[in-house]
Amino acid sequence: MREALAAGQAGQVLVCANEGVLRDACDDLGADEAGLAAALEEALRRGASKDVGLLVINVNRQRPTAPVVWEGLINLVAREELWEPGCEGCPGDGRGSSGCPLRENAAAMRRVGPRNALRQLVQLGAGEAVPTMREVLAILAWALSGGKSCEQVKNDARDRGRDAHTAADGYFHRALGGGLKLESAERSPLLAGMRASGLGSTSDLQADEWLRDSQAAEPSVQLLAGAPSSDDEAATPLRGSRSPFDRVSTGAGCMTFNTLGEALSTSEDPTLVHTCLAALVGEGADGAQVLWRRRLFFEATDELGGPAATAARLLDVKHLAEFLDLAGSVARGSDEMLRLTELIEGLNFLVCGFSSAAEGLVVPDQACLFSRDPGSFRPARPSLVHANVPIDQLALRAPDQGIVEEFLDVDHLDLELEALANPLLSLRIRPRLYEAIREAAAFQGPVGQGIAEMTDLRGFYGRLAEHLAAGGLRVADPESRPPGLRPLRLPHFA
Amino acid sequence: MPGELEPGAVARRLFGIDPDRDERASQLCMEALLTLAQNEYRAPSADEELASPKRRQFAIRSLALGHNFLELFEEGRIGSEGLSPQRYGELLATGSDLLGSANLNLARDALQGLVDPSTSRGQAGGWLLRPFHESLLWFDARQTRARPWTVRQVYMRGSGVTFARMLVEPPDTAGAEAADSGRRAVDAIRDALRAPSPLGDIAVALEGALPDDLSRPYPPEAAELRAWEHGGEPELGDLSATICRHAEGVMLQGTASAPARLWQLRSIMALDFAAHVLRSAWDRLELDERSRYVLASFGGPPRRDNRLRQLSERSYADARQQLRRATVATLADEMRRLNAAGHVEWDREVLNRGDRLNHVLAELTELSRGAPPEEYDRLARLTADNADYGRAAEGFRVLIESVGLLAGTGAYRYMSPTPELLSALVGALSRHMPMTSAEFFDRVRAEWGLVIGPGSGARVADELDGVELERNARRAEAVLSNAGLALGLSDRTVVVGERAAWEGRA
Repeated sequence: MREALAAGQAGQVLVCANEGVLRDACDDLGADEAGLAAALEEALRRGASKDVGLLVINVNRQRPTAPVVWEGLINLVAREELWEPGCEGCPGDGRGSSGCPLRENAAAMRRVGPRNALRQLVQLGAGEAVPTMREVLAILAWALSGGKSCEQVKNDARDRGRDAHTAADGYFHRALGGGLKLESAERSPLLAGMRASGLGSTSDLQADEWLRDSQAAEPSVQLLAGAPSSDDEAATPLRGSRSPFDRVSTGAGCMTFNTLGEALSTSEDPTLVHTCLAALVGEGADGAQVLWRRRLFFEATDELGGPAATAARLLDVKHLAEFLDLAGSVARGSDEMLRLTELIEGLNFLVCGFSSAAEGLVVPDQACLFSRDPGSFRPARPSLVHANVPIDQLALRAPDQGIVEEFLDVDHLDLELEALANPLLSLRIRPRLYEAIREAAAFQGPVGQGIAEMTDLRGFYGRLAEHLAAGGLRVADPESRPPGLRPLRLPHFA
Repeated sequence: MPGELEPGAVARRLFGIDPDRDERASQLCMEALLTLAQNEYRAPSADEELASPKRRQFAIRSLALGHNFLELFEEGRIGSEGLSPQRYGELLATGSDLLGSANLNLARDALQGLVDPSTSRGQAGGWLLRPFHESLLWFDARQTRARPWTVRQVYMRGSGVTFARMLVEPPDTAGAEAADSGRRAVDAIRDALRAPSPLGDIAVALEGALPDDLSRPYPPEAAELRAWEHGGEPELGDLSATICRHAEGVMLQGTASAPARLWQLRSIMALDFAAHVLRSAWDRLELDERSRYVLASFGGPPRRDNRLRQLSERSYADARQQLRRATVATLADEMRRLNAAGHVEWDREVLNRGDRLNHVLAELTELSRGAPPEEYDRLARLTADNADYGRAAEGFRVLIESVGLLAGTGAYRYMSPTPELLSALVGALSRHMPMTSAEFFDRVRAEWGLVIGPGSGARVADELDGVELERNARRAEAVLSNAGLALGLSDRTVVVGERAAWEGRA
């Protein structure tokens, strides 16, 4: 590094290194290159930094979900010329054939709805960990093929006919690690982040009802369930099936979602009902119900009320779409005072059980904050207040702006709440913290504890408390109506 | 003069310091902080006397715990209304406003949120607040029938005094670096405990109104002076060095708030104590390096399918067994040493409660000086079986339980550090942070004997598929990441303690 910096005096030098190596180099160089250390810190925090003769870019900010990169990635793996027409003897050719899951997966990914839905999940995962391109490609490849070759697909189709491939081979399931061993899925932080979305395990009354009675759904959903049209063949478990992805394996053989739902709802054969119930619940993530919800998330967004409503209904992270929208809006420079107020309300509730933005951002005494354990399942007690920051001294910022956007393909997956126009007094808000804040504001209840963001939250308030002078003896009382900080006066002993 | 074969004496001989089953992390830390605070965060000079850690704080205690600790104190008057201390305590205990105050009940509620949940059992005199401000530190109190409350040992047993001494004036055997670390740690503790705080303002105002009699310091007791001296003894050099190093790491780490650091200090002091006790037993039993470990288990399948958790249970049971064996071996050594010296009055050396050891005493009296070692071992086992020599094992259990290292119940207890404890481990090692998760796990093994991942060289690796330990390490990384203590980098390295790293470290 010393040589590179020396050579940089006479010309341009490009240094590429991992974060840890660069940090070590800065430590070794010490005070000799204090400018480099400061620039590196700034770049790690803000994405890039520029000083005289020195430009540091944090390439971790290059996002695979940036619109142009995402389109490129999907086109790379799912483009038509790669998959169509199928290979010789492909089981996907011809009406009534068993179908080729590989081609169907690729075809789905070429459609706007599924590729956007998948992007949303990757955005969520990427908001929690820094994904590599290799990791994203690995997940896309698994989603497309599930590790199967054309030969295997053909052999399976030859041996088992239409029972060979089911919804468990679908990209909507594979993209979330379906078919992988738990240990393998755990090894990918991106996949772990996507799986933490809860897609498949989050119930929705209407979506689940459509599985049990697809006739109640719109025709497009009936098609997804494999509901027979009037001219379909006579009653068989796969009657109405149009794709491997409307079929599920059960103890009573392969059947469509529609047949499974019918059996569960109307069959008088207790053995069949029991078998179908086992298939519905399944073991782990492979139950028909999980597969159905996942398919709807990707392919029935319009029927569920649009992408934002679908995410709110079928993911654990209910406010994901809203968060991404807000991050994009802030990056474009829009005024978001209303949503800032909602955030302050949520933050105030998290840290001191006080759900009002009327006093701005309430900064509790650090001891009270530590004992409160933000987000925990315990009723909030009154907290002594260290200070409060008026709302007009708070602002939302999008971190990846300026020179970062010049050099990298960014996707706005985080926000910063900045106090007093001081970058050191900022809180990085990612999807999960946003979720906790919004849930706290909306329901004034616990949001779960132990998540990393709560550590960030404590750090943010700690920095604020150090920076702000104490503002007299006041108490934030969760019970106060209307909400307000109440003054505390000590006895006069003189 | 206690006998040399009494449980406390044997424990001190073996461990250098006597763990007690009543002394949990909170009591240990509170007593240490009180000793530091009462002595102005330094060792008394040659012409000064040690100040006792016994601090009443009865006014703020009454408000915080909703119990009148000034009951039966009638001497002196408070404020323009001439309230007696008893009446003052009554009003504070009920959170009533007095002498022009407003919303004192809210202050009470806020203070009640600071009660240390691990201490809230039994009489209110044993309840403590989390040690987040100097004015909120107080000693155990007890009330006997129809008498006023007094501060006295209930759960605090003197180890905290010894720990305070090890921090401010460690023995020479701890080395010069330990003294420097200890000094920096104590300075940081003082700054944290004295940081401006509304809680401090409230406590100072309420305590300041009490008559002088109720705030006058207690003179030190002989036991406290002994405990203080004990902290400077050479055999505690290693423990002192460890405590000074870890306390410095915790208190000087970056980003964590002062209360978070003080809470971590509480955990790390107790964990260091427990690790020292266990390590002393390993030394006495001369266990090889591969056998010196306890296995920490993180998550995984249910117990019946979780081999690693089952082995963790066994390693905990083994640790307790090793403590018992080391105690018996030390007892046998002491018996042999005394017998070799001759003219032993065995009944004065042994605590013979309920005459349960009469048969052992009879045999000891008949024992010839040249008796074989096996004979001493047998008599030591008999003695331990019939008297209370299990205090080390129990002391070890309550220490690790109170810091969040022990999970499960009964025979199914196993080691599983909570995120809170992990943050203390990261803080203690903050001087060396950030580091990779593999380095962190190696350090944890070296410092506290805890095995988490593969490559530790511990004997447990022979009994487990390497993949199981690897999975355990991955789960530990996930816990660290979820607690904000680690960060997964794009090259799959997990970096631990980036936030805890010292700002401006050398």
